[in-house]
Parts: sequence; C-alpha cells; structure tokens
Amino acid sequence: MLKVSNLTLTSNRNTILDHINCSFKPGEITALLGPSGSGKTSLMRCIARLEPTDPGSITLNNQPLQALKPAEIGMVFQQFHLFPHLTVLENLCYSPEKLEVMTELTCNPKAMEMLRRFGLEDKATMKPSLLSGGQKQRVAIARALMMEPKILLFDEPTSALDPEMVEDVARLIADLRAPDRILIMATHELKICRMIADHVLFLEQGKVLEDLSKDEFFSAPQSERAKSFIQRMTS
Amino acid sequence: MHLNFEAIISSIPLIIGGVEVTLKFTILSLLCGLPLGIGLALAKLNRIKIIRFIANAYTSVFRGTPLLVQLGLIYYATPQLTGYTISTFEAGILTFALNSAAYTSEIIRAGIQSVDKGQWEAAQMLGLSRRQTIFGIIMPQAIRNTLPALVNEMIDLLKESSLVSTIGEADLLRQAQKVASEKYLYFEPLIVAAACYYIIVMLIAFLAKRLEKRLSDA
Repeated sequence: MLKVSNLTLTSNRNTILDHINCSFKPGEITALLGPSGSGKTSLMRCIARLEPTDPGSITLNNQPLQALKPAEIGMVFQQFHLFPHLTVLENLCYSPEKLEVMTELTCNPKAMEMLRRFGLEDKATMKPSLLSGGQKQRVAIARALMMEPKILLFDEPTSALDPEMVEDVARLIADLRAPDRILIMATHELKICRMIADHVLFLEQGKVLEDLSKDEFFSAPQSERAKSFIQRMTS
Repeated sequence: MHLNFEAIISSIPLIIGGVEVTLKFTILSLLCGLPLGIGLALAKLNRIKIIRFIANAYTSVFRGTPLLVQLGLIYYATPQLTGYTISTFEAGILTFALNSAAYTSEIIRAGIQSVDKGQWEAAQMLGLSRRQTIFGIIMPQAIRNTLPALVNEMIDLLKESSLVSTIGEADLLRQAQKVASEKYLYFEPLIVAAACYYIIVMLIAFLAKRLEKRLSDA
C-alpha cells in the first residue's frame, strides 16, 4: 500500500498541495482527476520523487520512498521524454545496462520481448523522432517496465495523443494491471477514468475533495465541485 | 597591377609546408581545449557557488584579454615565474587550449541548458546517476545542438593559430613571411597563405555540414 500523509508542497509561496492524505492499493488503477492546476501532476511528481515530500511523508508498505531502489517507481511522462539520440532498443536497455541490472546479452532479448508485446518489434532500430505519438508512448511504457517498477505513474496519458486513441491507451494501461503493481494516472479525461480506473481521487486547488471508488465517484460525487466538473466534462 | 607569382613558385611548397604546423596547433589545441571546456561548462552548472564562480572568472579573464597578450604572457612569463623553459610549441598549444576552453565552455553550457529538462527527469526516473545522465543522455544532445558553434570555434582556432608565428613557430603565416622577406615580395606569398587558410576552412565547414546532416538523419 502506498500511503501519502499530510503532504504539503509550496512553490514561491504558492501552496500547490495542501495537506494531502490518501492511499493507493496494489493491483488497482487510481485516477488523479481534476482541472488544470489542481495539483494532480504535482502529487504524482512527489510520488515520483521529482519534488520534495517534506513536510509530509510518502511510504510504500510502511517504508519511506527513499528506501526504494531508484527505478522501482516508473513514470510515463506527458511528452514521453524518450532519449532522441538512442534507438528504441537502446532507450529500453540504456538504464538496465548502466545500472548493471542486466547485461547487453540479457537485456536485448527482454527488450525485444517487450517491444513485441507492444507491437513495436519492427521499430527497435529506429530513433524516436521517426515514431508516431502513440508509438512513442508505448516505447515510454516499455522503457519504464524494463525496470519492473512497483509503482507506475502516467502523467496525462491521453493529452499528447489523437482523441481517437483514448480507447487504445486505456486498454494498454489496463493491461498493465498486476497484483503487486500500483498504477496511478493523472488526467482530466473522464472517458479513460470511466473505462479503466478502480479508484478516483478528485483534486481541486491542491486538496483532495473526493476519494472514492470509480462507481461511487461517477454515481454519487459528494462535493459540488466534483459534480460540476463531471457535468461540464460530459456536456 | 603587377603580380609576380613566378618568382615564388619554387617557394610555394615551403609555404604549404606550414599547413602541417598550423593544423597540428589547431587539432592539438582543440583536443586539449574541448575536454577542459566541457569540464568548465559542468563547473558553471555546478550547485556549489564557489565552483561556478571560479569557472566564470576563468572564462571572463580569457575572453576579456587579447589572445596575443595571453600567448606572450605564457611564453615569456612561464620561465620567469617557474624557471621552466617553455618551448614555442608548448606555449602555443597551452595558450590556445586554455583560450579555446573558455569559449567552448560557454557554447557547451548553453548546449546543456538547451536540452529539455524532461530528459533529466526521465533519466532520474530510470535510476541513472547524475554522472550517467550528463555523459550518456545530456552531453550527446548538447554537443549535437552546438555542433555549428563548435565548428565556428574550431575555425577561429585555426585562424588564430597564425599568432604562433609571433613567437617563431614555422606555421603557414610564418612560412609566407619568410618567403616574403627572402624574395622581397609581400603580396604573393600572403595570397598563397590566405588561399591555404581559406581552403582548410572550407574543408572543415564541408565536413561539419556532412556530420551535422548525418547526425540529424540518424
């Protein structure tokens, strides 16, 4: 269980996250939902250890996040951030080889297997600039999975892609569900939430307004703000 | 206008012989200056203030004083201050490398800063150390982004290497001057030297363009 306790994040005297308390279960997909500037990406960046988590704390199975190995938390960025000077295969293998988790001999077959899983085996020797947005995202997911992360984060997984691809992305993320893996996605897209999320955290101005199962969130949101958000996004 | 190239034909090989010295100074200075420039660029981006200050002060001094003055200082002051008799070759390479490093460091610093912040974060999320990120992820992109500016620096270095003629190295310019004083003809040998410089510069520019294209196609 990933537990966020009393997390506060400020930047230039602006409160980005305001005493956040929430938890995330393994085997579930949690959607961080909310309008722009609500703090969903910031919360995810704190979990990713890209932002300070003090004051407050984030623990995984009662262990502080700092106790985790570097790549045990994976993140698929909104803009993917593939390494442009490396081929697709090198993107997947660079980190495992540098960290000596795998050698070239063991990494390449695993990476090719991963690329096959995502239908990208013919792109292995290509540079990322030659791929479409959807392909780049799949490479980014494959790259994160190479390190077998316990927590996998998706920042706005649909926003850099064609709207028609929302369902494909949803299926892709849903397929990553595993009993010991925590999946979290920050999004303002209701469609993908309805399709695959198990749990929804609705954020507004750095506070968690709703912490409900998906069905409860969509059928009976408690706050007026969440009600109006759902209404506006579905109309 | 009367030009007498015939009188210097026999001396042209002597002038062209200076190309080797010029190229030797350029290439060796670049090879020494580039790693130093990379080190300085990293120092300028260091979190520790004093390291940033030293690197910036270095650049400021080498950019703020003429290269000829630096060459003179290193060539004449080294024996006086240290007792070591520095050769013209060592003084030339040292001066050009130190000077070039100051300019290169600014180019590379800008190149590193031009790499998307997301690349640092992606590397961090994959567990790479700062060192692995800099040398494996950021620097290749920074060098690629700054290749045209680095080639300009190399061309500048090639032309500035003519200053070694002032301390007696037999480079392209020095050889042309020698022929000029032997034949009492000044324009013609200098034209030959200028043509040699121009051809080398064009060749470097051509190769750099091809390299740039290859990198952007890759």
